[in-house]
Amino acid sequence: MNDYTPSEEDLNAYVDGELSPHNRARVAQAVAADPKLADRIATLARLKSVVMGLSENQSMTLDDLGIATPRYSRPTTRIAASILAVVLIAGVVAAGFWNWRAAESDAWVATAKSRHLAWLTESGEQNTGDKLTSMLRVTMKRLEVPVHIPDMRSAKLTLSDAVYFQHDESEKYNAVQLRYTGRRGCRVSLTLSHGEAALDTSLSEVDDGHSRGFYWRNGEVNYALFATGMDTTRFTLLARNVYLATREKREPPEPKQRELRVATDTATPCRA
Amino acid sequence: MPKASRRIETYLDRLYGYALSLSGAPHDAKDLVQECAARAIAARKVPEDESAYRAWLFRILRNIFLDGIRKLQHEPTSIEDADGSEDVASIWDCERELISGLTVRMGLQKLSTRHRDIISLVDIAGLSYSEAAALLGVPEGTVMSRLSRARRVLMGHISAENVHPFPLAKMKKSQ
Repeated sequence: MNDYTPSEEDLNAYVDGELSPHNRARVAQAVAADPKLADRIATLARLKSVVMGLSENQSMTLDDLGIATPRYSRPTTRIAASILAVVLIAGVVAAGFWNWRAAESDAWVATAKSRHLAWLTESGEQNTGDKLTSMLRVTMKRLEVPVHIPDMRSAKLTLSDAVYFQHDESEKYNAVQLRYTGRRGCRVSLTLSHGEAALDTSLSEVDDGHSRGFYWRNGEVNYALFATGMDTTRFTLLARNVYLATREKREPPEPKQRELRVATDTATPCRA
Repeated sequence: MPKASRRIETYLDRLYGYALSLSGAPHDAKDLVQECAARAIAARKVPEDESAYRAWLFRILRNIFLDGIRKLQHEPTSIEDADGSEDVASIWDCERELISGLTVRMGLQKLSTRHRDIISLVDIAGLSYSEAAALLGVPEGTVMSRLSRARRVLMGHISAENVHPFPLAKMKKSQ
């Protein structure tokens, strides 16, 4: 005679496989003796199975999310050369350090890119005058390091917004996304982060076929410049000028700006 | 592909399922997973143990979702379902065929955030009771009772919903 009646919690835990062997046996015995309990177990099992199945038909990759793994051109040879040098000089310990740096670099660029792609889905806010100045002052202050804000007017792009975020779950990195917009819908983001430096100091390119970007480091600040659908020459020259501006902390000389203006005037409009 | 990216890809489907269950909208769900993936890849300290890593991912996504709700000035915890205890028998007596992807999805969207959350964490994310308890910061017993109530309320919505799966099999037979 089994006068034990399992609670509703027990029945759920039974279906979820969360009971101890002893309690599982007790519930199983009670269920075997009571068709109503057996029916309820079957209903709970079906419910669980259908809920579990809700995510099974979804196939998602990082590409779908616009977080495609960057293909690095220059760092590939750089990493190879560096690892070789490190092996020769310092051995496995230093090689491990380099791998850590490369992983940091990957992660940072991926974050900057996902922020850029997220911005593309927002309606663009145009801030001008005092509002923009005030916003910039507050935002850049949170970056906790003085930086030069590049002027992109040679590429017919105007600074329209500045967004602060912490790009790391550990909240150790302060980052700012500067948003530049063109009159015909171009959107270019320059993401700056102040933290432990992980990027290379030279200008490097990342291109996954959808979005193109450049990244570099100057001092303690990491930079990533992203644009979507922008003419290749125009964007390359823009990246070079922004890179120089952040390094020299002033705008590039007039010939380089003129070159960018010409490229902009002859470029096809940005594709959405 | 870097290790961090390769590792998270295994969980993207389930993260999306969880995000969809929380937000109810495919576009919002994709945004949640995108933000979660970006944060996870950028994180400096990542759990090595696989089950801890999985729980950590779902915690990130959940926090992003809750932050979004806070920004919209919603109060997720104040939205409580009735516990559905008044008519338990009829709930469990409903035709089992009523429990389909369609009716369950509709029912989930009618649940409170708290109830939807616990069902999704256990059934979609695949967390054990102890992992769900750690993530939610509640005792394991609370997970048990909350999950039990949530499923009861979900069944209530399903049985009350006058939606029946299209009887394809029967139609084919009658043709």
